[in-house]
Amino acid sequence: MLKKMTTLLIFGAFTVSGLQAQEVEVKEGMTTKPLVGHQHVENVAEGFVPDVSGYVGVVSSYVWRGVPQGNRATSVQGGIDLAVDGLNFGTWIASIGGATGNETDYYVSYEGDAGGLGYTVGLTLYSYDFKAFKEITKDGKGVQVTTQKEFFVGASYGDFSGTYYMVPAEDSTYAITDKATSSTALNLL
Amino acid sequence: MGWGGSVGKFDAVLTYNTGTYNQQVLTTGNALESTSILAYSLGRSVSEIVTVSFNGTKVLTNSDKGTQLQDEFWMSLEVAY
Repeated sequence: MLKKMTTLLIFGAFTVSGLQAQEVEVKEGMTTKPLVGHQHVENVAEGFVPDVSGYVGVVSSYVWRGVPQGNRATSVQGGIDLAVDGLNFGTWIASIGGATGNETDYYVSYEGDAGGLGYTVGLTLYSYDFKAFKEITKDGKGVQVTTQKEFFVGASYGDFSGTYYMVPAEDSTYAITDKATSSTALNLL
Repeated sequence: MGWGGSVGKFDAVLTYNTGTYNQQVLTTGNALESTSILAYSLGRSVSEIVTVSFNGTKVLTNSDKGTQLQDEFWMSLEVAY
């Protein structure tokens, strides 16, 4: 599952307009989502200047919050983000292989700062191919467990940050023959 | 909880994570749980848009339920656009 543990990464950025920026990105996902370049795209509407950024990469093993995905196989990953006045939209894709197939995540968040204290709130939707798991149902009525919502709220100050993640009970994952033992994920990252 | 800074010529990230979660579906029914993990990363830009990094996790406390997690290591190559 996926995207995971928040990662603080500092990346150089470039823009088509020649602007230069340095940014600290707080990404959900330990590891792999990260080095994000920044590209300013001028919009015809005055005052509406979204930031478009993204990356592609490969990792020797896809690890989400300490949990290896796809039996520690190599994973190709990438994403694209659009930011407008603190509002961020993005998608992130990773190959996992095996029974899970590929993962595609979508997220929306709002971030800002007050008195030097940064904050962010958002929602991530995880989805999986589950090619070999089509017989799995969430409620016994044939609904496939292929998506999961996760809410998060975070704060940062200087080089430090923290994020709380929560999966609502109705989205808790279910095993083939057993119910989930936990419906809430709490992570300080 | 996280910290980001520089160590020599590398960008360093250190995060402490606590909580419980499971991946029963992804692991065909075997619950994976943990209560605290230390994650670290050392990255370096090799060009304006290319970065390589070495990453790892250290399991500090395993849950007494589900399959025990273990330390992980991985390499990463990323190209920003």
